[in-house]
Amino acid sequence: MFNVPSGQIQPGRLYLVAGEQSVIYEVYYTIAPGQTFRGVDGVKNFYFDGSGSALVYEVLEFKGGSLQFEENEADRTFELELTELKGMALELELTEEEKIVQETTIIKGMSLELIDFPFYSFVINELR
Amino acid sequence: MATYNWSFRPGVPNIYGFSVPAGYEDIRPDGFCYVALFGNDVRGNGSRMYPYKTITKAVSLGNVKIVLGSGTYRESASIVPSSITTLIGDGDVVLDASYWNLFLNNVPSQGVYAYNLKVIGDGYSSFFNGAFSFGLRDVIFDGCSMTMPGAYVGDGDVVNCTFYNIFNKVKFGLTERTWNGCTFVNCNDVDLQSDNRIKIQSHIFYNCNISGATLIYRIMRFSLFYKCNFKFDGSSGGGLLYPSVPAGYTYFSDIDALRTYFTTTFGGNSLNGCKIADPKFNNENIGDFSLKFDSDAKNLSYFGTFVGANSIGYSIKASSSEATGDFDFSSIDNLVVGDDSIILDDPSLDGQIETKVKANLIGRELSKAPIFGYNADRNGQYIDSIADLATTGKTTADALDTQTPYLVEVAAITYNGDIYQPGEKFTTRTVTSFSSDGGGICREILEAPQRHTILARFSNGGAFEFYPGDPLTEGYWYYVNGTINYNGTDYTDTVFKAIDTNSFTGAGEIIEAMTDQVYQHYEPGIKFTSNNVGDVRTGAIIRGNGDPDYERGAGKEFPINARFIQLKYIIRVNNLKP
Repeated sequence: MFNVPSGQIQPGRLYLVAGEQSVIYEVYYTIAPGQTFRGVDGVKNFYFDGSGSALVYEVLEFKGGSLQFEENEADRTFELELTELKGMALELELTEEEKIVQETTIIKGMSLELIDFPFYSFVINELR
Repeated sequence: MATYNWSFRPGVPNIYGFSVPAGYEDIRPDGFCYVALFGNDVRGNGSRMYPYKTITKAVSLGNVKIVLGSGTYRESASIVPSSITTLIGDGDVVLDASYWNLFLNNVPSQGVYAYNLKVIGDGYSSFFNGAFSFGLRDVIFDGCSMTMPGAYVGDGDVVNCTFYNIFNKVKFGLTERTWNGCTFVNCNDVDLQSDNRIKIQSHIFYNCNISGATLIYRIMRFSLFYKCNFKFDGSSGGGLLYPSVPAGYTYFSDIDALRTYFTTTFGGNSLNGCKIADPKFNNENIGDFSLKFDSDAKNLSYFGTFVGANSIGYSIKASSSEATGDFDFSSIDNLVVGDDSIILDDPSLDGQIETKVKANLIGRELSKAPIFGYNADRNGQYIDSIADLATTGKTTADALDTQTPYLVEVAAITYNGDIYQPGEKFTTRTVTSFSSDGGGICREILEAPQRHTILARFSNGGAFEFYPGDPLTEGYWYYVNGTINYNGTDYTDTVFKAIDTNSFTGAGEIIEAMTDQVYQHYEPGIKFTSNNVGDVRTGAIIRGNGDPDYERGAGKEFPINARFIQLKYIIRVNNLKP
C-alpha cells in the first residue's frame, strides 16, 4: 500500500488512517486508525499522535459515471427560415400548330432591271 | 501478445488524424514515441512493445509525438523540451501536476500540443508558459495552477477542453487562433485578451469571473453564460466567485443587459447567439459536465449542436438511496455506496456494482462513458474489468510464452542474460526459459496496468407481449410504457428489475429490456465501439474496444446504438502499481 507522507494531502481526496497511531489533521480533527478523512484545500500536512506504526493510505473513491450520446436530428430543433414551396411550373415546347406568326409580309413594290442593250435603245428611239 | 492494445498505430484511423508509419511492434516508428507506466526508460526503446516509462525520457528525443498509455503520470522533474512536443493520450491518461514546477515551459519558439489528457493537481505548476504556439484538444484541467503571473497560456488553438476549479488565470492569447467548444467552471480569472483575429465561440462559462478588452466582442458568439461576473475595462484580476462580485466586476443574469454593457463599452454588435441560462450539467459536483437532454447548451451552436466540451447524456449517480441513484443495490459486492461516493468496504477484497438499465428509446449513438473519482493506483486499487495478472505464476520448470509480458515475484530471475528483481516487469522475445537461484517466479501480465476498463451490455428490447397476470423472470429488466404496478410499487415509463416471478397489474405495457445479454469490456472516456459478427454495423457484438483482443482498423470497428444499456464497474485491489 502507498503510504502518503505529510505535505502531500490533496484537496477532496479520501485517505485512510492505518497502522496504530491516530492522525491529527487541520489542527482540530483527530482521525483514529481505520477511519477516513478528506483532504481540504490548502491543508497539505498532518501529524501522527500516539505510538506504533504510522500509516496514511490513499483510498479509491468512485464518485459516479456518465453515459453520453451523440446528438441526432431529434435533438436539433433550432429555428431557421422555413423552406416555403409556393408552386411549381411545367414548361413545354410549342407544337407547330401553336406557333403564331405575328407579322404580315407586305410587298411594297418591285423593280425590273434590264440589261442596257443598244438594241433596246434603238427600239425606243424608233417608236418616238 | 501485446500488453497494450494501442489505438494510435499504423493503418488505424484516429480522431486526430495522426499517421503512424508502418513498422514492427518492437521498433519505434519515426516521429513517434510510446510511453507507458509499465515501460522502462533503460530497457525500452519507445516502441509499442517496449515503451519508455516517463515523459521526460521521451521529450529528450526531440521532435516526436509522444503517445501515452493509460495511467497517472507523476514525474517530479520539470519538463522543458527543446523542440516541438506533442502529447497524445491513448486511453485514460492523467498527468498529476501536484509535484511539478514547470511543464512544457518557456519554449517560446517551439510548439506544444496535447490531445486527450487530464491534468490534475495544484502543485506549484505552470503549463505551457511562454509557448509561442500550442494546441489543446480534449484536455481537462482540474484544479490546476495554470500560469505564472503575467504569462500567456492561451496563445493557441483550444478545442473541446474543460477548465475546472482553476484558481489562477486562464488567459486567451493573441492572434489568429481558434477557441471552440470549451467548458469553463469555477474559473477565478478568465482573461480574454485578444484582437479580432481570434475566434471564441461555442463555450460554456459557469461560475466564472470574465474580463477582457478591445475587440473580443466581435468574435465572442454562440456561448452560454451562467452565474458569471464581467469586467471589460482592460484589466483582469479575478476574485471570489458568484454570488460574490469582485471589485470592478458586474454580475449579469440577463443577456440583453450584458449586450448593452458590451455595446456601451465597445460599440457595435456583440455576443451573437449567446445566452445566459443554466447549462444543466448532469453532476457538476463530481466533475461531470455532460448535459441533461433539456439543456439550453444543446443546439446553441451555429452548427446546430451542443456548446461546451461535453455532449448530452445520463448521469450515473451514486446515491445513498437506491431510489434516487442510478445503481442496482442488489448487485453490490463489497462496496459502500454514499452520495457521490462508492468505496471498498473491505479494502483487501475486490468490489463490483451494476447500474440500473438505462433506456435510450430513440436509439441515439453512444458517445462515451467516463468515470469520475480517484483511482488509488499507487495502492493497486483501480476500476478495471480485466485483472492485470494471471492467478498463477511460472517457475523455472515452466516454459514462458513468447512476446508476453511478465512480472517477477519472490526472488530475482535471469532472462536472456538480464537480471530482473522482484517487482520488475519484462517482455519475452524468442527465449522461453529463465533461471533463478532464489525461487523467483514469473506471473503473466494479462493486461497493461493502469488501464481502466468497464463492462457494458446492450439490448434493443423485445415486443410488447406481456399482459397483466403473465409471470416475469427473476433478474430480468423490463421497460414500462404507461403505468403498471409490480409488487406494490407503481412504475411509469421507466425500467424496473424483476426480483421474483410475480406478475404485474395495470393498463401499461411492458417489454423485456435486458435479459441474459453478455457484458463486454469497454474503455471509459472514449467513444464506445465494437467488433461485430460479419463485420457489419448491425451484427451482434463480439467484443468491445476495452477488450485486449479488440481488432482495430477500418471495417472492423463500429459505433453502437442500443435502446437499453447497462454498465458494470469492477474495482480490483491487487492490480499492478506504477
